[in-house]
Amino acid sequence: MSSKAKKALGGVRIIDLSQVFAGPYATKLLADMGAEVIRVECAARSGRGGALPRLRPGGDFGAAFPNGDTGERSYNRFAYYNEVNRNKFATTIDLSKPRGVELFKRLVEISDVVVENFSPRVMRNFGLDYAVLKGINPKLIMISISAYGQDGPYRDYVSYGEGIEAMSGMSKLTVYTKGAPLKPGVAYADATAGLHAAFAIMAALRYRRVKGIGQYIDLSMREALTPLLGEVLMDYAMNNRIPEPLGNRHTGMAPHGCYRAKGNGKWIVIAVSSEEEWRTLCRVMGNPQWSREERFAKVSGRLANQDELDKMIEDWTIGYDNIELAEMLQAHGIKAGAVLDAADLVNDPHLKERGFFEDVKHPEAGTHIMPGISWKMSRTPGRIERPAPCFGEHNRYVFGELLGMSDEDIEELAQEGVTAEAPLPYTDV
Amino acid sequence: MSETPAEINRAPLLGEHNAEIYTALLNLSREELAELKERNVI
Repeated sequence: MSSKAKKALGGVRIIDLSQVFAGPYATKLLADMGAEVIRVECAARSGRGGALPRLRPGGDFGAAFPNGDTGERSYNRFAYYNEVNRNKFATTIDLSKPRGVELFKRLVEISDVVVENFSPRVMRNFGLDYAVLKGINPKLIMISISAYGQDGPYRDYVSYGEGIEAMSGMSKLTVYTKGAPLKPGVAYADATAGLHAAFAIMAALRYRRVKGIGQYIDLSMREALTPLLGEVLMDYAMNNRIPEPLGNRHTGMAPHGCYRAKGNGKWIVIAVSSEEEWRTLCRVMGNPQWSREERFAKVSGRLANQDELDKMIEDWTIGYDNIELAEMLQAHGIKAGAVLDAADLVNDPHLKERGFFEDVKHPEAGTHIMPGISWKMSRTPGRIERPAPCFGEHNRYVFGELLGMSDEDIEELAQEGVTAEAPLPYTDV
Repeated sequence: MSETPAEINRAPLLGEHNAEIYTALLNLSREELAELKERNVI
């Protein structure tokens, strides 16, 4: 089930038990590069928003569906799932049933990597921890992505990304100079965990190619995020110093901030990293009287008088469209960027010219653009070759073609509820 | 990682491995190395 396009990871088969975002993000990267990623989902916890999404007060769904319509099978139209699971295959197996476990083990036999991001107890409870799976396939690489790792006092703590951002130290730095810590607007801790996971899998695949054996990877989301605090942690270790939150400011650059632009909710970020850049910015602003004041002449003075400086700059930026102003500043070599929203991005001429967004046709969700591949490889570029799979779409391919089961056996699995046609309705709150 | 746990070594000092890399790996002579240094190439 593959096209003729050259694929960097062609021939690598990955069993993907992961849910929500961290694991699926890792397997998305691998699938984009041509790995055959087979999702193993179950009816009770499909990871597809359940069969009936919740209506919010006011009558809209919290989640995004094509045309705001869940359709008959919302679980196949759930944008959150469909974006991160493109290029993958989907099967259903109920691992709480002995026949499900048996079926899963057969998949392990013919696969290279197993990815899971359950709480640490779950795979053990299924009787599917690495010690068992290695016995079936000694070349198997298995990665467990969990919030806090497979051991240690917090191993059983549960978390989404926000908890990890807080516990990693990141939230304490994502604060205005006054105010409460803010969560990032995206699943940042999940994405960093997914990226690290994809890298760890690649390292293990490389080692396996040389030595012929697999291994187990225990990846903690928190330990994937905390290293991003490198210097901050070193400062404490060396100097007992805990940095104050900076908001949009910087320890050594001024101006460095996010400024209002013309229009409601329009902003631009500007960073000035040298005296030469400061003089250029002043020139672009038309060398107003205030910019010639002695207190703004050097970075030390600008840092000391940042409130006034930022106010003056904002008085200027607010007269301009943020995209046009960023363009104007960039033309003079100033590091500026318009703060864009989804509409700006989809219509962005630069992304259009680079072909970043790809049209993806989904049998139940319709044709929509999706962010494409984040890097361009000269020989094996990768692309979105197939939409996210519908629930259980590839049961026949995987169980029949790959495992060689007969139609009767596959039918029996469905009868016994080991495989399913549809997820169970939403059960959580 | 169960088979290949990583270890951390300190960051290198500026130019610390010049001699090792350019003579042992690239087979430059001591004289060539000295000349590169002299010309501020390395």
